[in-house]
Amino acid sequence: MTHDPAPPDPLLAVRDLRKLFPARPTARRSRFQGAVRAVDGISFDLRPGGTLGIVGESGSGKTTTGRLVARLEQPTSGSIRFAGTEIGALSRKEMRPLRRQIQMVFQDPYGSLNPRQTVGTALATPLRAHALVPAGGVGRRVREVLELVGLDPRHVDRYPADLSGGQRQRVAVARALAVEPRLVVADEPVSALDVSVQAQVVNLLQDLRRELGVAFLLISHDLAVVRHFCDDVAVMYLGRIVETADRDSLYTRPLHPYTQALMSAVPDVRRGTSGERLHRIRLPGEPPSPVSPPSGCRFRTRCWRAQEVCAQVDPPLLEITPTHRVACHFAGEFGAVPADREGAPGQPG
Amino acid sequence: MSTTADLERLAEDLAAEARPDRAGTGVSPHRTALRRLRSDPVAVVSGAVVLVLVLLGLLAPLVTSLWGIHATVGHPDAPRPSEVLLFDGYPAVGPPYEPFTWQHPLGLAPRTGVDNLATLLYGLRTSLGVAVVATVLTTLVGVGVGLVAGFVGGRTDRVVSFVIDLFLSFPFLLGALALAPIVVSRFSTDPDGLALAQVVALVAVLVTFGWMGLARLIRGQVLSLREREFVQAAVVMGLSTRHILLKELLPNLVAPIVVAVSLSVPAFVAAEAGLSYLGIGLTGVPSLGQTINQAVDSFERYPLYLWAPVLTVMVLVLALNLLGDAVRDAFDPRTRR
Ligand SMILES: Nc1ncnc2c1ncn2[C@@H]1O[C@H](COP(=O)(O)OP(=O)(O)OP(=O)(O)O)[C@@H](O)[C@H]1O
Ligand SMILES: [Mg+2]
Repeated sequence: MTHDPAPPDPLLAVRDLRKLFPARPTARRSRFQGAVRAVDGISFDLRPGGTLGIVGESGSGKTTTGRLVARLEQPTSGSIRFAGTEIGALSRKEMRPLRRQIQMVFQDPYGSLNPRQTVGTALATPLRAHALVPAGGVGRRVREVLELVGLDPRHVDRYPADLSGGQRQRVAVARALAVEPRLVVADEPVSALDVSVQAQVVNLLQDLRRELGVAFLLISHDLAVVRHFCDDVAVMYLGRIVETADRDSLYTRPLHPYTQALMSAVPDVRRGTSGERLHRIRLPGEPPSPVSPPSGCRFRTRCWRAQEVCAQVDPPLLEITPTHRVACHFAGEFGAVPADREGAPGQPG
Repeated sequence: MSTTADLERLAEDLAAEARPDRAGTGVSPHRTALRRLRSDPVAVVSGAVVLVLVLLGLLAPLVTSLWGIHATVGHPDAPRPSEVLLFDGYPAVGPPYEPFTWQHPLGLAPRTGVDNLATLLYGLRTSLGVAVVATVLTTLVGVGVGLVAGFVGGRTDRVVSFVIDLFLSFPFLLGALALAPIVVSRFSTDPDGLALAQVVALVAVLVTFGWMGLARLIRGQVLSLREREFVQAAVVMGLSTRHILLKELLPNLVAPIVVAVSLSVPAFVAAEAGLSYLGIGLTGVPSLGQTINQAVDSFERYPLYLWAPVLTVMVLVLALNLLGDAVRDAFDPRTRR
């Protein structure tokens, strides 16, 4: 996340990552019609055992980012370094030995478990495939892992249809952690669950993270969940990271107008901040199409601060403090920005 | 914290109650389908009919030898044609001229004097055998091709889809018509080889033109299953493609495969009869279609000779189809009428 002079080697280092989807997947032979710029040049670091939250509206590219990191998706360009290995360009086959170290928890606990497999099979399969425990010990390890996520070990013979949403998500978490990964990408892990169950699963993830020292990339549109769980937060808008900071800095002093709008929509978070921005900021309209994003700053079409310069110059992500960076031409006017940085935004690049 | 825990327990209880037959029992969904099938009267009756016909076919050698009848011309124990045939070629015992006799319940064939019941039983055996072998092979090819095309996608999928369209557009009957004389002339000097070659050629034709439907169905199912999160989870787990195809995808395709199989057996029985009737199927071994073909000429004088195989084919195909429909309803309740 940070630009410390000598940061510890990051576990995950993403640089200028892009993913373009063909805008018209059906018209195979027609000429190139443009592309959905789902992720459009993002960079971030995640240290071992760290937690980075990615927030943003629907369609901002959060899921695509997570799927790129888990290499379910092939990047169009850019680099993904995981534990010092460039994995962005690895083939399916080359990727397989590394797979175990990057696991994923999916949003929908009804879809992420095979309906034809018992809980025991679902958990034993990856253990066997990676030979993590001697053949005789698989059963015991499966029961151990079930206990770890707070499930009754007798659930091994159940089918997913016999479990509640919360129980299924616990199984999914157990499956991800059973193979002892170093990074877990969790894409909206609780948003499909009942509100009453959400807190339990978040707490479970929190406990497991502390206990096992696994790094988490937590994707969520729920700012309260991210605040609860993550040390660092990145805010995405239309395929870009517009602001990134440590949790406290971001939640107490959001600098990007988009972040401010997001925060103002959440009563909990609003109450927690210093008190001046209590009013709700309503963003006009929908996000523009990611096929043809606006010129200059992508947020300008919905921004109440937009000026002429915003349409011409794409604001770079600039460092406000060592842990807080924001991509807005006017961010300096609202924060304690060092004087020497004031001229930097607005220079045509 | 305790209240949320209570709430979750309540929610779980409610969810469990909503599925009284499944709750906490660990019953696989396929077992439920089989249970549904067993309580469907149509399935039970048609299944019983199919079972009887299959047993008759399987036990044809036993039944005929117990009865003392023979399905081949010139069998050493069989009466010589001249002993049982009149001067006009029609049998001297049993129908059409003489009254019913238990020795030959369905009479004798004109001109050859072979017992009709024996021919029917062996024909049943051939028809079912050909249909089952063809079904097994089309299922293997169709499922294999569909799985790979759907999962690998990209160029492989496009090539496979094109090949499927190509085979679908090729006239099936023309292929069979072209193949038959080639096989016959190739094996003209070797009657045993001819019989075998005809069976192989018939199965080959049925399979060659029979795998596309299932391949297309499976491909479509895989395309949608592939995006399901449990398949993505298997990829993230680093499981091999082989494992994903056979252990993650295939078990979720059992229902469509069972349905396709149960509907393709009667289709192949009918196709075999049709081809043999047209004279481009089997001639070396008894088959239902071939008997029908021969019986048509003497229908005016000897209707029983034709009716017996025609009714057998009808009952067999009808029972298989009803059973297939029942299987489909049991495995896929959404399509239930
Ligand atoms: N396979 C795909 N093909 C084409 N377009 C895609 C594909 N996957 C995602 N997109 C597009 O990329 C953009 C970003 O999608 P993504 O799913 O990453 O957003 P998200 O931030 O996760 O949204 P949500 O909060 O709704 O989950 C969207 O415009 C989406 O339509
Ligand atoms: Mg998403």
